[in-house]
Amino acid sequence: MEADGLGAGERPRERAEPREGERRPLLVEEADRSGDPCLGIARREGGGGRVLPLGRHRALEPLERDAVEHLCAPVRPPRRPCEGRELRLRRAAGERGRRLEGRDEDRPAGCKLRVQERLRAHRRGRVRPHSLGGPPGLAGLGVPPGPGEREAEVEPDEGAPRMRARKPVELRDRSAGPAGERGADAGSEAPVAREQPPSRRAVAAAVEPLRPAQPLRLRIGPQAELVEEERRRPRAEADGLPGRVRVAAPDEHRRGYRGSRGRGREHGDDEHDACSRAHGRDDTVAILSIPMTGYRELLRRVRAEIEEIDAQSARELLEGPDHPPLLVDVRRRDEWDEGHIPGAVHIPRGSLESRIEKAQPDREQPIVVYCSAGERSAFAARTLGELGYEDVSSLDGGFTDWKRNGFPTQVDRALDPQRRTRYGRHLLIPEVGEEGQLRLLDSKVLLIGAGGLGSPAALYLAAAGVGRLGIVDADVVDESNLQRQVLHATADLGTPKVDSARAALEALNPDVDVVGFRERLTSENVDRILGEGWDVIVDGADNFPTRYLVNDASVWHDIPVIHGSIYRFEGQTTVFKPGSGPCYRCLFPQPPPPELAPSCAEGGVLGVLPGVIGSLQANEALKLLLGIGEPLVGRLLLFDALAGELNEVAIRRDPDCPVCGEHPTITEYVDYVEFCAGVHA
Amino acid sequence: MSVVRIPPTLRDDTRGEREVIADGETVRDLLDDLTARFPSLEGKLEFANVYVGGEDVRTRDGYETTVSAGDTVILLPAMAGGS
Repeated sequence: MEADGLGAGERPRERAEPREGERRPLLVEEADRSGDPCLGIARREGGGGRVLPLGRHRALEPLERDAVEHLCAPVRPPRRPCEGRELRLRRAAGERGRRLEGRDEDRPAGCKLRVQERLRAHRRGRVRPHSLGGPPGLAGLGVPPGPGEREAEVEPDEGAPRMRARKPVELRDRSAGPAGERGADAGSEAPVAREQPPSRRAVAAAVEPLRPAQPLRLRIGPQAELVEEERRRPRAEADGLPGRVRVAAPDEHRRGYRGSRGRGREHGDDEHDACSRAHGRDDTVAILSIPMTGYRELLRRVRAEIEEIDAQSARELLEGPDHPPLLVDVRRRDEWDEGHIPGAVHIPRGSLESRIEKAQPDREQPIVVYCSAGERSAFAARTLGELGYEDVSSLDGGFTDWKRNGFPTQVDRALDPQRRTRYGRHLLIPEVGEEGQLRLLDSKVLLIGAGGLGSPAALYLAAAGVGRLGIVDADVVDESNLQRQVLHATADLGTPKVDSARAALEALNPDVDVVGFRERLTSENVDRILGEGWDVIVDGADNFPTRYLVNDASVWHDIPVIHGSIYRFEGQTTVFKPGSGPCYRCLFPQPPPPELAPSCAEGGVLGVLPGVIGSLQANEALKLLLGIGEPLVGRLLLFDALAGELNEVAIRRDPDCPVCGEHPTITEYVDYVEFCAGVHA
Repeated sequence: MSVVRIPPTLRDDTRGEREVIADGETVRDLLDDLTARFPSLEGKLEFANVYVGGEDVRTRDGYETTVSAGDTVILLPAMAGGS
């Protein structure tokens, strides 16, 4: 291949190898006179080639470079070499080709979306496809002219052979000349952009499938520079020009399009196809302009592209009656911790692309982004635009300006680095996160009993960082407890369980404040103990009187109870939540006679069974505290360790329940021992 | 013919069986059939909640709730054990 014009004698490296005999533009890299790598479009004709340099590709931003590649190289080489039979098959498939119509049905919906997003991205950038309506399935992709855009119509020279790189089409802005005249004299048309600011080394590239003798229509965005090239201008002279325009033949892209079908299609090829196809249907043009920029210049350009909103208007929007925009703080964590706008979500700039869809899946909803001064948020706003968000604005002046206006700010309580490490696995779960963890640290759970059920429940709640654990247990640690009561150790024998539990739990997690009640729960002390403001009660009692007492008290104190009971190989758990589900009396209005309800001490229990049920209770407690998931309200979970089965039965609120029913008949504590023994006497 | 799940506290009365096949069109018939075959259950079943297809019969027709062939019937007395 021979480098045309600007080539400094270096053999250009081909970036895309066409199939033999196929005519289509190539994207090549070559060096310009100063030795800088350039990007160019080459066209292979019968073994020879021409290169039309596009300019210094160093200056190409990824998006634009990408676009050039899209437009120039609709057929990419297969990423994996294929040989022999496979190659023949692929070639055969490619040569058979496919009709353009009906192709979109084959294409997964996601591909269309990607194309759409890319086109939106182009709109945000400086690549401006003119009109992409037409092909089935791609309807509605038409991009209306944006503010500051204008259209130019250009006619190719009908007499000139098409597709000659040496004879580029002259592009003139008809809107600047006499209106409505097609094919007017060159003298009556103004060149689109002849002068370039000296600070810019721009590239203008337009790659266009053109139906013969049809006018080429250009849309020129405010940022785009279109460069005219004089037909007779010697190539050497053109060197200083910021760019070239290339017009491609109408059938080239189609052939390229078909060709890609025959090759191993991989991700991304669909976009190429759609892009070239859309271009193949319409006379569309993309224009690139890539000035060399410093930060200030880049910021200026980005700010010109995005919407900005001042603090006053933003506040009115946020507090207005209409659907308020999602407010996104893109600053660093430490900046956020020092204060932020109330109601904002924190997505650091570095995570914006990956996390914004979770925060706002609907791309039509308005978003306001802010940082400290409005610079990072400007880039963030552009990024969101590239992601397809349609209504994004950046808070001008940022948080600094917001504060200067005296508008409300908020300082969140935050986890310190040590806790952030300790609860790191919780923080990673979106349903918990920092807010949930802070909530757990603020929570208070009362455990009735530090025995079989209470042990695992307390351990897991303490490990999870529940801030205060109350434990009601009058017993001391007995050797027969150690088979299952994992809170206590052999060295604790004879020690009050509340003390042994406190030592174990505080050793596990110093964040937990353990409050011991070394007493049996009775009608006399229940109000005092429950009155300490518990969020949840975990009931691991070992007798019916305590269970009925806990039930009645919890209904009157309006505290949810996580119920658990075990016997031999079987256990049950459920959540009694006053007001929204049944209570224990709804489930079991009366206790069975003692001979039908032996305790674990009488009937025995498999050591691991309380571990299962107590852990399920801790799980339910955490769900209630965090307000997540489906708590076991109105559902009794039955676990059979021998069968390895977990069953569930529905339990319903009894409207005639004597405690939580519509007309309660029990309104104060009764003698629960007598109640449980006396009924059957 | 329905499968009746026997709670652990009543298994001494069903010769250790966890599940027993019983006959009857209603819950009452089923329980009568059980009591006939395992006489020591007499007087104990009334303390158990009965669930047919996962629903408490008290929320349906009580002991007159019809039981279709193939329904699993769960007997569930209260258990106090927690330690």
